[in-house]
Amino acid sequence: MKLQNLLRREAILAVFIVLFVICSFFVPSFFTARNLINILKQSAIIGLVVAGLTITVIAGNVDLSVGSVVSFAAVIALTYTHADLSQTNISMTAQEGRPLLALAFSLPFLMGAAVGLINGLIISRFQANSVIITLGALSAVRGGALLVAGGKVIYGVKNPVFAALGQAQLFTIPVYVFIFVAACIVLELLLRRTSFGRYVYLIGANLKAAIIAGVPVARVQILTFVISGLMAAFAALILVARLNTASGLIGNGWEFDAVTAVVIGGTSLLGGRGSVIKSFQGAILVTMIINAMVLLNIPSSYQYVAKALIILTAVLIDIRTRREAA
Amino acid sequence: MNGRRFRAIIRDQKILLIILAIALVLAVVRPVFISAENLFNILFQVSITSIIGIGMTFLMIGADFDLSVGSNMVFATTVAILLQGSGLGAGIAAAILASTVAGFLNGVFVAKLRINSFISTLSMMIFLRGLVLILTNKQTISGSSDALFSFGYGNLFGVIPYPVVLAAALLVLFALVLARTVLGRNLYAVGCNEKAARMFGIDVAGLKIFAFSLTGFLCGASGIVLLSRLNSASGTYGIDTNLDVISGVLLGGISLSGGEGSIFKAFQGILLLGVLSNAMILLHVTPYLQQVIKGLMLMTVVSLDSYQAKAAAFR
Repeated sequence: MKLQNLLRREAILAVFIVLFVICSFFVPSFFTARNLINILKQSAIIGLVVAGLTITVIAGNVDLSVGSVVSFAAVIALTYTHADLSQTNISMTAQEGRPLLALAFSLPFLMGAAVGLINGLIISRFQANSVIITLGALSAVRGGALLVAGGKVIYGVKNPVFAALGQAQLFTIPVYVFIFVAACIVLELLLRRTSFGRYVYLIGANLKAAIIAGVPVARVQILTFVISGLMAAFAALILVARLNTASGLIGNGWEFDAVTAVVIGGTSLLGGRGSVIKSFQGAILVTMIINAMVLLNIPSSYQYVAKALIILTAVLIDIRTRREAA
Repeated sequence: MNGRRFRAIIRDQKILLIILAIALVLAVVRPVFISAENLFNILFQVSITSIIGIGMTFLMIGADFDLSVGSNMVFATTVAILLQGSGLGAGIAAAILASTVAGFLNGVFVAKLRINSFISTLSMMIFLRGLVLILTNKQTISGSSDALFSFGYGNLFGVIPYPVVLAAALLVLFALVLARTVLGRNLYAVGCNEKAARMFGIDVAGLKIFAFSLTGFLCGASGIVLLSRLNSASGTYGIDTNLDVISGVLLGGISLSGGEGSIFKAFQGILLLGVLSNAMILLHVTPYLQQVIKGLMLMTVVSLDSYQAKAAAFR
């Protein structure tokens, strides 16, 4: 009985361990240090988006604009470290690059926060459907990214400080993996140890009760969208530093991947349940499955189908266990 | 005409009035706008979205929605092309059947398995997009038969494109189903108050599955219209269709909270979107900026809709 309870509570972890063992035995070159670090690398950047989105989802909403925010932020960031170089036409030292680096680092965050603020304002003030509102934002922000990039792929992070964000390593593991873990811990503490976190769960579980209890519902909801926007911008900076390119098309479909990770982690789309740590597990699990598919030479088209089936299975399991519990 | 009646007309027909206003301005600024060719071009452009919009209206009246319509439409086009070898008719029938099954599955997920319509239709969207990529091998595939061209490019009485005729016929048919049948009335009841509808003995799950299947069927039909024009399919087609259909239907005043709206109103919204798109092209607005404007418009429309619903709740 106790084991059953444990399994129910840590279902995702159990699935992860089983799949991990299976992959290690049957997928060639899966269980190598390089590949395992690869999985961490691949889950870290989108993981930042997932961590931010989790808080929005716990509050009972969803933010589909995150993928577009990633691309817009990436384009802005690269434009602002790039523009000056083309003007001066000399290689820039870290010292000279500082003012622009400040812009390249701050503008994406400002944009992400602004998109979140607008989403949050509309959704909380008018109690509008977050799926449709953020679907509109998805289109508008993606259009903005394409406009700024002029539909082109821009490339070349020449500022060493910026480049280090994506390239620097610690014990052969990229620094941004540690940043990802740290960000997850900070957000988890925000949820568990602050009144903001308690309000997020309360609003997601029972909006009416939260209003009656005098929770500042609008402010908390807006803040959750600002957080998901900020985390998307953060992910974009690391993505640009790592890939050395940006365009209006990167981050396409990330909103679905992020929602998948959140749901698989066990955070309910109905709100009120879940945690950043669970989404962290969800993100790594999805990345691991995709990674195994790539190693097995399964064409990328099938990954779409696999992702759709994974998310449906996860939701079904979630519904089944909740029914049993009730 | 007294003042009150005048105000009522403005309130009830605001979409038609906006369309007329835009048309008037464009007729002056870009005279080519009012050429018969351009007007029928607009009607053709909106024929695909309005056929799908019928299904979306049924869903939204029942307080659901479907994010997989764009993928489902291209799915039909792809199936029709791949099965053309065994006859054009067989290909079309199989394509429409496949799309209907996809819609039916959406309905089962939502009504029977109780997965919310956002997550089930989002999964279906990705699933079908993947299936199209697999079936087309990530290429643009072309049909071998161009017999459908006489439908896609042909005109009734030499003026009205056949796709427009088809869309009009479907709009009238399903407007009648919604307004005049028990099924339509029950759907409004479900959208207004699902629990009450169930207590009155309405088969809520059955109705929802029907609405999703109908949407799938109509996606199939519009996939064939697409085929009759382009004679090709690819995983990159139909990406914007979701946004266009949902924005159009919402623009027409169909509420996301369910229980109200009509096919005629939804069509007005979709027509407004078509006129706007056409206007932006004639005014040389870049595609990227068009995307921004469309997104902002959807946000504005839903904000207004939600604001009115909230205001009504407090009245």
